[in-house]
Amino acid sequence: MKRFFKKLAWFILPCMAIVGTVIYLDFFKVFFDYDEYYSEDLFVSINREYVCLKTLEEKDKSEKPDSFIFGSSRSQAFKCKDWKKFLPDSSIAFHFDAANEALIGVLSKLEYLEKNKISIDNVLLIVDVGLLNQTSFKKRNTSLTISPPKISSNSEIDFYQPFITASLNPKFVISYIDFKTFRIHRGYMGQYIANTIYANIIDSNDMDIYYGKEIEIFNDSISYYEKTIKSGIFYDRSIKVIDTSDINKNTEEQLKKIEKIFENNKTNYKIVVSPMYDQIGLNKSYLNLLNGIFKNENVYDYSGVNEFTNSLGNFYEKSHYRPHLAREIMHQVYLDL
Amino acid sequence: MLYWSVFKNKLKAQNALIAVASYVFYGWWDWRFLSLILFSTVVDYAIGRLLLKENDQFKRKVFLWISILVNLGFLGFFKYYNFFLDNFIEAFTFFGYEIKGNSLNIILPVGISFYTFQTMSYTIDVYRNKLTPTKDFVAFTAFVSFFPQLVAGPIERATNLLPQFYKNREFSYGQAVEGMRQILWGLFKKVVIADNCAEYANIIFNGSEDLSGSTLIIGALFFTFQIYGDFSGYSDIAIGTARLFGFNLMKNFSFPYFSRDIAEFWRRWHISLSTWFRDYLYIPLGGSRGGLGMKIRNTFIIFIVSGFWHGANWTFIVWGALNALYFLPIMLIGNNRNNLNLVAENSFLPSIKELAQVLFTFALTVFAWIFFRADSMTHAIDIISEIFSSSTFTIPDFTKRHKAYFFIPLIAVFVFFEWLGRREEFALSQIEHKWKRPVRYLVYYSVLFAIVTYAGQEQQFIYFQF
Repeated sequence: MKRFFKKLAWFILPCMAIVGTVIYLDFFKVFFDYDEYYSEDLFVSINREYVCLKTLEEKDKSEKPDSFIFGSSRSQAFKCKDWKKFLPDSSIAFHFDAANEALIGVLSKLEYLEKNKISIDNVLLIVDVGLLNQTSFKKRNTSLTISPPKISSNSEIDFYQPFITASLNPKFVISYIDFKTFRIHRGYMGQYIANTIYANIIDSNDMDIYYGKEIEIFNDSISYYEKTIKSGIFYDRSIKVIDTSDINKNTEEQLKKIEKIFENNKTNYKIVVSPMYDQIGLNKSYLNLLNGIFKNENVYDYSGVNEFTNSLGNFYEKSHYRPHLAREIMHQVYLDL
Repeated sequence: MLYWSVFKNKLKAQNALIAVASYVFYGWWDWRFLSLILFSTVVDYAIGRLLLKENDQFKRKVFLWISILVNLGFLGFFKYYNFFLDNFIEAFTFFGYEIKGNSLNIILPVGISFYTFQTMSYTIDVYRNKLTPTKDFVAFTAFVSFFPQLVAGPIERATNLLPQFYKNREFSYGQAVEGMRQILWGLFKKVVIADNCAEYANIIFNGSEDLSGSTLIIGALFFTFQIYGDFSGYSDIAIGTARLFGFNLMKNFSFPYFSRDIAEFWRRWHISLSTWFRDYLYIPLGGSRGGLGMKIRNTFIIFIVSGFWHGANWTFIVWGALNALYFLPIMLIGNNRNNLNLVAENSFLPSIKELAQVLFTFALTVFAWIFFRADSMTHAIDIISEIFSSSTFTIPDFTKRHKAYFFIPLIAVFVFFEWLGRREEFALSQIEHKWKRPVRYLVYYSVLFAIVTYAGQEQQFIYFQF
């Protein structure tokens, strides 16, 4: 038996050495603590949700936010600084989002805040069909989407494993070495490596992201939209589609739990259904659910065909809309226009 | 360590450890269903003891039927209650009678079809005087609940597995290394092949109504590799794990997709189930001994029951019946035992004839899997109608198709490796005898690397639902 375990140990040793190296190099900034997660030399796409949580945890009690923007990366059109104009002066806003956020993710974050006795005075929840459909952490298992154990049902192993896997992925390793050497973002690098020509700027205090594309559009909007139209990102929307698909049966239960937390904390909340380039209106069943649980006056639906979704200039690409549109939405929502 | 070091030469303690570990393993999923296994264990143990003492044939038969009814009763309730109820209501509605019945929200206990058949084999073998009933309740509990194969087989025979619980087990270096090798290969089949294929098969089958015939064929092919990787991968992991504990489980898969006819396929696919049905159903029914009518009846019974064993859905029944239809012609002309040897036994490549036979059998199997994977009969028929339409001659188009095409070479490498290892118990076993150490280690680390980096989206084992 000794021989067997000895052989097994020798076999595993190189694997352990590789895993040890990957942990030491910590490409995704999850194995060690950092003062600054979005440092200037960062070019690897890190886990947004984890960084938000770490930033929130490290805030002093006096700096702890009491107002939160929840949602996916689409919610990044809404800036805390813009939102604060509609909140009481003493409010401290924080953008607590996640890549491809799920409804269960929003619920877990609210439960975490409640459990840690962090005030939830104001909430701006940005939803879409993708968020409402996701009621389980099960399929959120990539380095970008895996949720930290403190705000999910994931174990420590569940959480760290995708980062080790991603670090060993040949595509990532080649992209990393290529970019580190030549500092050129190439198409094959995909989501692993952030495009640094027009880099995103992150406010590490409230976690707002200022997309580099905004600067690119500001510099030459005509070229930007010509390029994106040419590459087929903005596809033809002449055929109108209505979403009649079945809704997720767990969504109602999770929305009710969210509403209960809002009620317990006397939260002033607004729910915005994102304007989407596809102009597919939010499924009527979901909309009725939102209106029924949160009351009509708190739910604002901007999906489907409308003045906001008609204009191409309101979008970076088919998935994300721009801050000027979010400002207009906030104006309507809070001033009840 | 506890098993081999602390409990070394302490057979009872080793068996007790296996039983406790197995109950913890099963209870981890849902502790409430532990009572079900325990009840099944107690009933079959007690009936085994009663059968030993009883000489009266009538009473022996009664005991046997009690065991069968208890086991099939559980299986029937948990697995088939809603199916029978719904079909009963539908049948009455068809004839114009409206009746009401409430379907129950029943959770199917994981592995119930496997351990039920395993315990039944014990009682039947004791009844047939092929096996002396055990006195050792701990060993019997460990046999029924043996964790490596508890939830998805192989369905062991008491005659093979139970005696292994009576004998002192010695740690064997060679056995343990072979076990690890088999686990590694099983993990590769499950995590890399099955889970990746599942992603594309799910995309295609779940959105089949908008897809062309050519795309649906690709979906069926992905499912064909998914189910093989998934189930044979689990079997490899189970057999390999059992080896680490000093047990030899029966072979469950023997490179079925290299079969030259459907009879050979069924000798190589889910061997533990097909031999179970052969020994406990087909032969008692008369097997192929009777006249033509009897042969046809028995063939259909065994295949349909086998289909129904997989799940309470008409799709499984039709899948079974379709396999019976495939099997029947070769059985009737007496060719069902033609291909008992290995394909290309004495050569590296198959002959043209063998290749054509393998491809034809493979095509038949892929077609049958459509029923197995479809959600309903309507779904299966819709898919088949589309496959037999002109859209089959269009270019396949589905979400993630580029990623899927990138994965196809990996499937080809897998098939090639399986082909190289077809003479062994499992494909990776070959390298111990044939290849030098540096090449062996290169293969091991490549497989491990693929498991870590090319793992598909986590999917539950298909056979857990059976």
